[in-house]
Amino acid sequence: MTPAELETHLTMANTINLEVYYYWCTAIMILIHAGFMMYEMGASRVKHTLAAGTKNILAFAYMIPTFWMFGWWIYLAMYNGFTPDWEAGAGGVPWGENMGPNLQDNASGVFWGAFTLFACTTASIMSGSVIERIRMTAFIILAVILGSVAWILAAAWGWHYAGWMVVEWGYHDFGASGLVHMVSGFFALGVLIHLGPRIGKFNADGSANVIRGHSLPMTMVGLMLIVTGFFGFLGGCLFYGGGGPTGIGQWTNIYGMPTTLSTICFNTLMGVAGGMIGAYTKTRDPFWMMSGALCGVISVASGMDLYYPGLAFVLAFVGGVIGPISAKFFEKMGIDDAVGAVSVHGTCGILGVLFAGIFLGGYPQFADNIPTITFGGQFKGMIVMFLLGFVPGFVFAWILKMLGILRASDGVQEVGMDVEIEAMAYPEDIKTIN
Amino acid sequence: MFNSSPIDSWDGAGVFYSFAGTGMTDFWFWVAVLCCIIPLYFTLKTENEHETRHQFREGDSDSTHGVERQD
Repeated sequence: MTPAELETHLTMANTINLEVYYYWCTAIMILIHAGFMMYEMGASRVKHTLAAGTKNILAFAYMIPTFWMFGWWIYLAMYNGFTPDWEAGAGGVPWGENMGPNLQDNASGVFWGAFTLFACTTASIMSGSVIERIRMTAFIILAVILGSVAWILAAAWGWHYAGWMVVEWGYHDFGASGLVHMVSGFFALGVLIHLGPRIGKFNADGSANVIRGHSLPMTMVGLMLIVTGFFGFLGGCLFYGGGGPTGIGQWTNIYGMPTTLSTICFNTLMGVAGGMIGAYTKTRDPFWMMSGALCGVISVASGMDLYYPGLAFVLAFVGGVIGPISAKFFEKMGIDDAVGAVSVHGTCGILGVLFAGIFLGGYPQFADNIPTITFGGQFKGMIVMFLLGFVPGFVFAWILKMLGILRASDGVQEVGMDVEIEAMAYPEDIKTIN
Repeated sequence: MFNSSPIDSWDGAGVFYSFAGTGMTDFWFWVAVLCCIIPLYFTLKTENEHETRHQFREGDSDSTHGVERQD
């Protein structure tokens, strides 16, 4: 074998390994969706259960074609802001050579797949907060706007080695605390303001009632599935072995800075554990203990490629404590967020972005012209992520409200949302006290 | 705010986690230890409250604790 042939074989082996790696990351990420579905069905009352599950599955189903139609193009083309780079975007147009079977391109399909599953996650984050009263059509429209437009625009700006937030501010968001979790959490907040609370959630004096889901065990198992899926999600945030933009023969983060899978393993597990213990310490509530796992991971996600594991654990613990406090705050403000998604993803997303600014100063970037991570850069990035989530959620929910298709009528809510999908979760007619 | 990077360049870098090689790692280690121990104290306190409140006395209950006698 000549040196040239050997090099060809090595290059091909590397390409196939890359393809295999992202293929399975994508498959593992589907567990996040399965987990959110169980989590939300368990958090629903019996009469709303199947509607919650169906909503989740349809969000998944709609995200895939819409992300193929325009989501991936937005990522490739819009890294400069609102002005597209048509040449760079050519790789993402659905009628182009890269967006279908092509023996010269082993990468586009698996990268598109992984990003599509990130998009599905954003829709799942929103869906939990709006259960038991949002109408299916409105939910699907909002899910597509969030998953195939809003979050991927945020990703193009802050999760792309040429993204303007990265190049100008040194914005660092390795595990997407801002661009997935903040965007989704505050998109949900914008929707909730127009959607209004479930019937019976608030009393005339403004005090809140507890509305318990029908199966906390189902919710807990669902959350463990989400935790499992996080390994696909966070693993998919790495560039495989080819070196990325720096050309260094090592795993790199999406910004081209070297890192390792071991780093992500350390800090994902420490984040999950810290969040669980923090939330349990604060609430003694099994629901919040499990949601605390999400609070923890999200609170350390931005900088988990660089944190000392002991620090990641402590920061996640703080996130686990603050998540339920934030949920109480929003409840006092009259926001009925059925699963605390605004707090878990929005508030803890803020923590994640800012913690990176506080604790990760001084790291060299992949290129000399990129600013280092600073609190100012992270703070400005946090504001952008808030706006990219909240504004479209608020505006499009308002439009759907004006059209009269956002919220189910009181009568349908009373009978149960399952009536609108003409199905029942439990045909043997399990009784509910609600 | 904290300049926590132990490296100036990625060329030839080894350990790169934040605060590596400084006393701050010891600090975060011990804070992490406290974050494990303090919750146990509060958990124990809650358990003890319920242990006291739900003391079982002979004759108080005919509960079988879900166990069925095999005749």
